[in-house]
Amino acid sequence: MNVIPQISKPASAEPIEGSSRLFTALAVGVIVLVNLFTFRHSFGGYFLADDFVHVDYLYHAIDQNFMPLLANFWGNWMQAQGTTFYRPLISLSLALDYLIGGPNPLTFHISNWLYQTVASCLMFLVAGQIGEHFRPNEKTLNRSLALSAGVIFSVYPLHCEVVNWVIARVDSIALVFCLLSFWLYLKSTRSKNSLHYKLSLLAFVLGLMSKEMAVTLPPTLLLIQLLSTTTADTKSAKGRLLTSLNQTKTFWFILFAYLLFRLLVLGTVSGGYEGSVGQGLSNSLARRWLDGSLLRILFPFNIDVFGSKHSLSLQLKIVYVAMLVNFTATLVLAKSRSTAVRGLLFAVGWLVLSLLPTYQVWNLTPALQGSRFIYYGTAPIALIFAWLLFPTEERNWPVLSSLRLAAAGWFSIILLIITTGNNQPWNHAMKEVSLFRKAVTEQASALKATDKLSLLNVPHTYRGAHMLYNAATMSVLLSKPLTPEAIYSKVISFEPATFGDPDLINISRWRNKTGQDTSSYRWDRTTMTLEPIVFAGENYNVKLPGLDLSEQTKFISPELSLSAQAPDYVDVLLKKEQIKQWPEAVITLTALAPSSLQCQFSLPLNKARADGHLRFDVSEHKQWLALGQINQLTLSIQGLAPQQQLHILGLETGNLQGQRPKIESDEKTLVEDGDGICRPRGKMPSFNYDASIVPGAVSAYVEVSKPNSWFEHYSGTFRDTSKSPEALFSHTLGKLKGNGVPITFTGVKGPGFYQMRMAALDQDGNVIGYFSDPLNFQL
Amino acid sequence: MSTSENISDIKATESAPKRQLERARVDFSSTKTQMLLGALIMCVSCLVAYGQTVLVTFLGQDLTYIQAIADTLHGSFDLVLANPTSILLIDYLLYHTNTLGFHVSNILLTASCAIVVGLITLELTGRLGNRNGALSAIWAGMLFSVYPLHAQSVAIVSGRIELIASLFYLLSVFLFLRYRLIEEKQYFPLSLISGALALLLSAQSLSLPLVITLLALHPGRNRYAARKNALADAISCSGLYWLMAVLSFFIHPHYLGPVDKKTLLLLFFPVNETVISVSKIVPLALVPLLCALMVLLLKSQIAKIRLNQRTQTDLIGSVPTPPSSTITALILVVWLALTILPLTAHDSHLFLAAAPFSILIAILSLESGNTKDKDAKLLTSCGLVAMTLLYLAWSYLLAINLKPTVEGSLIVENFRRQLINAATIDGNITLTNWPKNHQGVPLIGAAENIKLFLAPPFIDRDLSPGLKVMNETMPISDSNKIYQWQQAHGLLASVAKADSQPFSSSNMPWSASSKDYFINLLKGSPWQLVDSTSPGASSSSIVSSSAPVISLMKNSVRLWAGDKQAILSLNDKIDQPVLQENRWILKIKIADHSASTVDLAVRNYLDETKMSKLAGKRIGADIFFDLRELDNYLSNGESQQIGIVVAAGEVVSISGVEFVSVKSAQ
Repeated sequence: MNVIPQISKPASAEPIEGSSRLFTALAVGVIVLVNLFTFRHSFGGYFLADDFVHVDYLYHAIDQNFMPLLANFWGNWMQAQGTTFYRPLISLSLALDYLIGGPNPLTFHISNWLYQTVASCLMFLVAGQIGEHFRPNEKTLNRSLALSAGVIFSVYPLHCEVVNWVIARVDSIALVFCLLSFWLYLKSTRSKNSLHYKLSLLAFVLGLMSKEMAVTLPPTLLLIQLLSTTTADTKSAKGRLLTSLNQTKTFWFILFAYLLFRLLVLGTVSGGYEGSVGQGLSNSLARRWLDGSLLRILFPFNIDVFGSKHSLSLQLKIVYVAMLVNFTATLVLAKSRSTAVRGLLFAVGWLVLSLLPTYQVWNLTPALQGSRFIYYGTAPIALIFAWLLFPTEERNWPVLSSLRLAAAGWFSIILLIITTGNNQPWNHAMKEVSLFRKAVTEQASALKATDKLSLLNVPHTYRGAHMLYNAATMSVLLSKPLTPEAIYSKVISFEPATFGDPDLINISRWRNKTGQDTSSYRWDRTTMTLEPIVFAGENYNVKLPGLDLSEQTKFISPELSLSAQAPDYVDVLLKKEQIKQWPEAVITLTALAPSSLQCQFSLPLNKARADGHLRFDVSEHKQWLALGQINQLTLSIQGLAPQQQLHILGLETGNLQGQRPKIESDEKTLVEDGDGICRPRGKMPSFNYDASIVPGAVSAYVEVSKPNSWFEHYSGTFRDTSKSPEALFSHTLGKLKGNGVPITFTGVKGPGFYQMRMAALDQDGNVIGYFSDPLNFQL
Repeated sequence: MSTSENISDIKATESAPKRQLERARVDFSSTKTQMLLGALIMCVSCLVAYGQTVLVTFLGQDLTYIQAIADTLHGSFDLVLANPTSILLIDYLLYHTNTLGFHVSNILLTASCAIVVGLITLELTGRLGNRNGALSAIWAGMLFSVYPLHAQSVAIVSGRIELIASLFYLLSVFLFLRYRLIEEKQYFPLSLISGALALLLSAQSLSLPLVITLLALHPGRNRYAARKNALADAISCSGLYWLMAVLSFFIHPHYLGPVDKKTLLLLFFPVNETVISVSKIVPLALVPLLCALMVLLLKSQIAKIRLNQRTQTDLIGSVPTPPSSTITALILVVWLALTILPLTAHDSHLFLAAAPFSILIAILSLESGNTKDKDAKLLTSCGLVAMTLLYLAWSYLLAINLKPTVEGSLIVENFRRQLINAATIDGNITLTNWPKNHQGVPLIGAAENIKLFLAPPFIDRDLSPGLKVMNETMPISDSNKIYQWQQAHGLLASVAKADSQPFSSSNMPWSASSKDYFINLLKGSPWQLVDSTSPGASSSSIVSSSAPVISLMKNSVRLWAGDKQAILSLNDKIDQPVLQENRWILKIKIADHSASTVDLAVRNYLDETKMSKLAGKRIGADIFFDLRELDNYLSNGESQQIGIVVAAGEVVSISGVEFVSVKSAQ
């Protein structure tokens, strides 16, 4: 324990290998601890959204001797419809967790945390190597650079989705392999060790098998070679490019082989989402990139947690300005500026490269949903910050390096605080899904064998955290292996089949399904309990007399006793000239149950129908149904000038009976399942329809959607009054009523989800009233 | 004096044949002198800082302790051995019940602790080579003397146990360090004795053996140690301490206290939260610490450069480099951690923790380690600035923290005088409440303590048998004269037991039929009333969208808060709620299947600003509010009014409000 001789030992000029190893060990220890602290609450989490698809997949894959897992290596990921990916390693990693701990979420969360932690450690190592690559002589500076890059990466607030959401490990696994490959490559260029080079190639291949993002690695390697000082010996730009290409040629070769393989196996090079989801993505491309989402990378506050303006954002700004000042000042004062600039250029280039492949899917919402797309990009971001902090150290001014270290520490602490905040929705969401499962299981087990449970307000998201998106995920949640008994068979769900507006409900289906033997429940988000819906009240049409509304007042209706199931719409009767006067003014309708539970709808005046009725299609909204009984309505208006008054002629509720045709499965050859999707039970699946109930109908018009597309995705409602341009097939039927009409007549082929709907046409071929509620089927 | 004069002076002395005696002078460069002066300054610092506490009366548990000692002197010895407060015996003999003497002893004990902290620092810095005279030692002592969390330990007489235990603890550490310095054998038994006393007195001393072991492992240990192996050496000299610690388990079996997460924060923001909010003093508490941290960073960087220069120019001679202050700092950090651990700090106010904390700060920012002269001066001046800032900041915070104790003492004195008067005049009295605490300072803890006020040795006669203290959660059932302590007026007032008035809200379930009640209730309030049961009256159903609305339904009443939180005051004035046990529990019935909830607002009938909120307990559709949970409601002697709070944007349906009796609620 005598320290004196150790310290008085003269330090040799070359850094001792041992001390470097010690530093690495210490730094890795620090990074592991930081990660452990940052994500300590995620271990107790649960599965969310798409995770269920994978749990189900694993559960069945293990039954089939893992063959589906192997098939991933030469086919579309998970043999899925609607997506084209090549990610065999991900399912393998999930299967490993499943084999260790079964369907216990803990194992999955531990390995998610491990991937993040390993990525952070590799970030530390890669940053160190990049530092060495550009400025081999500045040991201390490179150490500070590496450590701060590693720590910044560990606590970066955009990682919550990837760490907390089991399936988002796609990104962390891909990054682990890419960083590993990058690190080994840099090591091999310095030590000329061919083993490192070979291992690097292997890691790259593994990266490609994890996520498409890995294709950015060869360009990144090319970039660092182009910018490095060693290649600078070659004078001409062309010569440089050739040398650099030569150094990275094997990577390019692998990349092209991969793309070719992809083309052969998947039939496409790019891949991604198909159907109306993919179409929605490409329509909103520009908006998604330009709505300030790029700024959210620098100010990664979840708006639902921190609000739109938070005091930490000022602190972040100060740190950013300090970083820039530090960088520019150092550049101005330094004798040689080349290395500092090259390093920064590389980091920025790496960031741009890592953002490029996400162009199609990029969607970083204000609640930071979709932050997984930037996970790969946070590696260059951490490097940029570290580089701005530690550009060069020609002037040995101790206070400055202390200040830089302090700034790095401060920055990390701010980021850590933000990350803690951003983690909160995820932890809450996981807890809520787990409680939801427990509550539904309890209620369903208490039911009689023949009775059913219909569920409304299933939790979809919480402050940007995914929960249960659709019927499919819920079916896994409530079946084996996650729930011991197959509860799902007792549950009727009204969630979208794949994705979609969680509030929309097919009211025809609801009316058909809920009878005497069905108990209806809604999930209460605030108390996190399952509450019964009491459909008290009567079935009648409410009519309220006229009134005047201004911006400062609201109307409160007399006490009503209206069953929420009865009306289809609430009409606000307006004068046509007033609609023209204030087309942008918005009327808000609030409905209250006896318990004071409420729901709200808003519409601008210009959405009024030709007859001056502003129609709220209340019955296609779950929040309306969940009230059970409506005992008061209120109206208010925004968008009028002060002193102005809108005269409302009256308020009416009404039913659409007789305005919409009916379309149903025949329940023999085509049977509707609990998730609202009809599946064939024979060779000739067929359906029934009836358009004769619509007065004045001359012919029936039928529309079928494209595969995996949903009409309500385009229009946002089930109450379309006009034909959809997105239909795959449309046909006018002369008969107004038909039984056992085979689906095949529509010419639909190939697997996928389809939607069929019908409208009654008049003499001129115009739609009378509304389209029917759709019939969904899967082939 | 100019240079030429200087030279001539020197010449003159050299040429003088006559031998002169050295002139008597104080050698300020001697560490001993510096330390002596430092000790004086610390005493002065303590006197100034705690001077205002000398008139503080007996608070909290003091009374029971003094009573126990008085009993002892009257022949009942059974308490004395079990009670650690018997150390107050000497004070009692000297000063009887005069608090001045007790407080002077407390201050002197604090000063002694500060001095020993200084001495420990002196020993520690002595091992680091350059100790800057006694500079860091003095500053460590000074910082310790004004550490703001000392307020209650010093200002309350029974804090004495902690003071003495800490003194012995610190002495033990100091004596041990002395013993290790040049193996002066006589210090070792002394250290053991102090250690034993410390362990005997307080559970917080349990960390002593570990601290001793760490210090024994300190690389600056003496070279005359009997064993050359560092570990064996450390074990051999700390073994006895461990033994004592194990033995002490028999005296203090309850070491484990509750974990308090706030303790760590308190260390850096040492302020009484009830007096001033922590957020207000953040800059004050942090800036000096940050300054000290900056000095430390600067120091480490300079040391690194010097080390580099030395290795580069290969100037390393045979001079052994003293150990870096890092090891010392680490030991101090461990010590600090041990003293704030819940394991040992379950009843302390971090009095002992202030010792390693002050030493750590002083050593890190003032001791200049291995650097050379030029840097050392600069660093020392920077460090001094930081220390001065910290000293001033802590003194200020200490003054803030002492304030409630001094004020509380006045309250207790006032209460005691009036109580004695009342007891003398009326003989048999019942007391409904008494000053329990004031801004976090316990005034009169348990009800039994009040009886001590009315008995010797605090007064001449024993008036305590006539006093009854009301257990606040149970109704009164005797015919004594009732007295109530009204904190706001500082008055012990006699109150008459009133007949309970009817409560109008409870007369009916809330619904449309209680329209007249609501019309009366809402006079002069911003609430708007809408009768929703009459169909067709739509013009009356147009209301202002910003103000809160009451909508009357057939079987319930719906409350809508506007954009702001709204309070519906129930118009009844409740006089002397403490005497009306049927005004203690309120039940609000919520309409069926509603998850929404409301809070209750309780406010002073005359002063709207004095309002507190109460959350209820939900049982089915009923929410029960136990108003006894609110101190202000029951016992401040003023009329109260209650109201229903509806949060901004919320809508609640209520079908009834009534008071229920304590029995039926149970």
